Amino acid sequence: MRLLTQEQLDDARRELENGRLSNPLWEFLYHIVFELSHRKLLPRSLSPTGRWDRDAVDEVMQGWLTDQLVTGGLAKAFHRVEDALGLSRFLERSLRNWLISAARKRAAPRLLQRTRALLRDSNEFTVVVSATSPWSEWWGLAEWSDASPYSGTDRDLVSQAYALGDFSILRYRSSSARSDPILSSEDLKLFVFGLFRSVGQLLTLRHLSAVFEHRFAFAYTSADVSLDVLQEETGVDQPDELQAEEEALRVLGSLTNREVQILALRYDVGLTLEEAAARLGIAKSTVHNGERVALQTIREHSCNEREARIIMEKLLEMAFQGRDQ
Amino acid sequence: MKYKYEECLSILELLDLSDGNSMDVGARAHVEGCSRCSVLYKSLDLASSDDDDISSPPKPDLTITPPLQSPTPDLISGGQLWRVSIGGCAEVVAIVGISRQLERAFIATVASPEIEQATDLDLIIHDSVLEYPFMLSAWNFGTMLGTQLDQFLGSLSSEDLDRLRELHKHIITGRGRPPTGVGVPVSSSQDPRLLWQNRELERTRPLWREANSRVAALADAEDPGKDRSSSLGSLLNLVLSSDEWELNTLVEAAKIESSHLQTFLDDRLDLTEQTDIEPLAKVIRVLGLTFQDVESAIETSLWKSEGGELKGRRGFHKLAARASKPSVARSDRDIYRGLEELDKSDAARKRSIADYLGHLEELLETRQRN
Repeated sequence: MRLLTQEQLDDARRELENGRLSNPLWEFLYHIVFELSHRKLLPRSLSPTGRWDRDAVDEVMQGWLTDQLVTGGLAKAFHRVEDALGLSRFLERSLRNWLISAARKRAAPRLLQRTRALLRDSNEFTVVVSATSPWSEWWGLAEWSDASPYSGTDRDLVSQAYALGDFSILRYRSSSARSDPILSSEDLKLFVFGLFRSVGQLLTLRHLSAVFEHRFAFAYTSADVSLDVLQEETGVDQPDELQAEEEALRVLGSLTNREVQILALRYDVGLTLEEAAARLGIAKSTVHNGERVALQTIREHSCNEREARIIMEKLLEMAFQGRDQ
Repeated sequence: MKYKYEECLSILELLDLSDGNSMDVGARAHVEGCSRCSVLYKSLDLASSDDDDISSPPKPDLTITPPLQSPTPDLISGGQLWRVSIGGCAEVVAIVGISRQLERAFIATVASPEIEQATDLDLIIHDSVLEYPFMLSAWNFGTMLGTQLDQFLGSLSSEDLDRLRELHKHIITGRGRPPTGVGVPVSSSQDPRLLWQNRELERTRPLWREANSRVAALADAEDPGKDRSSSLGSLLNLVLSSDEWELNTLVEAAKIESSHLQTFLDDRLDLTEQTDIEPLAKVIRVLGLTFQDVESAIETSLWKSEGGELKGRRGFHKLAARASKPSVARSDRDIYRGLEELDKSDAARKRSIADYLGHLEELLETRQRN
């Protein structure tokens, strides 16, 4: 039996209130990390060592405990669950989120380095006002003939960054041997270009750093990085059948049944939002939101749009094989 | 409906089921009917583990700061944080004030730990009485009964309570500005934080259900003869009594002021000025209804409403209703106020009703085409 009994749960709650971690709760936490990693339900790229062995499990266990669980994470969980089932669901999600967040932090400085490289190498951007420090150069879109330096606040800039919509600026894939998540050049370019277009004014790297810091707070810890370090290469191959299947399985683990059904009705059956809503007996807005969440999750597990489509096809094939939708 | 943290099973639950350690009939039935869980369940049989030794290492010495033990107060009042149980799940809420509609009921707002989702309608509390930073989602509020409050967790500082009330007032009235300590504002419907808000509204909807049912029962008891069968108000009351919608979620989803929804519920439409056509159209669209679905109910409500036609100003209300900024329409109305005479004759009211319905239909169809 992996789950806690109600008695163990009540005891764990009492122990926590006295500042102690009960033995059954400790073992339960360990089981979550062990089972998710050893059953290949976590991408390798989320492991601190690049593979899921005993060392990685121990390291994750230590990090999760000290970074999150004993600093309010367990209190958060116990405030929001009533039984052992709820606790396992809450903590499983908490572990996934913490792993993603930790992996994103490892990759954080590269976000700005790659942005600088993007601005420098792409024909779509140009330096309008040069400066001695790369932080102070004013960049704009090459197509602009007359643009002034941005004079608004960072807060307004961040608000405009949010308005650009859903972005999987950090993607990861289990087949990657690298320990860092893969950053999608496609997404980064879309994001930076979209921001310039939306603001309509010249920006510096300092502005972009402020935007990253807020919009991707979990992924960005400090702007104090060397801008001269080379970024990692981002070229990736298309996943083979087995890789796509493994990835689809991991995506499934992060989705709800309703989100899977919405994907199937929209992309397999080809129903409109209204038709899908009628079929599922839910509001149109719920279908729309479920679809956005599901697509976002798939994008997080893929390196580009082509791969995302392959994974979605595989996911739908697995979920509805021999089933009546 | 049973309210759980997530409906789908965790991997550990699936493993226990797979190993025969769980006798939970409900869990097995869920797996059989769930595309997501059935695939994961089957995959667990196939997934081999390189290392079967699951024994955990010795527990490390850990320092966990115990939570502040606050004695349960005698009186429930603003600023208190409570844990509320619902089925297999729980939520933390902050009391904003006392309900005027029900006895021993309170206006509460949901406290969420996901502060990275904060907008300018979320008050972020860093100096936390809960041991972790959280935010008070002032947009996600409702009425709760005192009996629903399960465990007292602590109280906000008086400064934070003031800021919460200021934010709440801003949300209800649309006046003033959000206080300090809130997140970055939303400036587009594409903002991913709105997606999170929608999920939160849906997830926390059961919190308000009990009090809302009481309010509806009270309204029936106070006015049993009221015809609730055919007007817009009756239609909306029916919608709000379902599992799908609550008052505040409808306000939020339609992006209208709650005062507008209240007038729709009371069958008090603005027949004379027709300034409420735009928010009404938003509500109809959000509910996935067509003009034909609601035409008769709205006509009934319009006949129940006060007002008529302003002599010599036919067509003005269309202009006012279409004005993008309410203040423009309002200033126009102020200029014209007193210059026209209101015609409340049946014929004039009938013309106004036809005009109102015509404009509403036009608005709904235009949006549908776009």
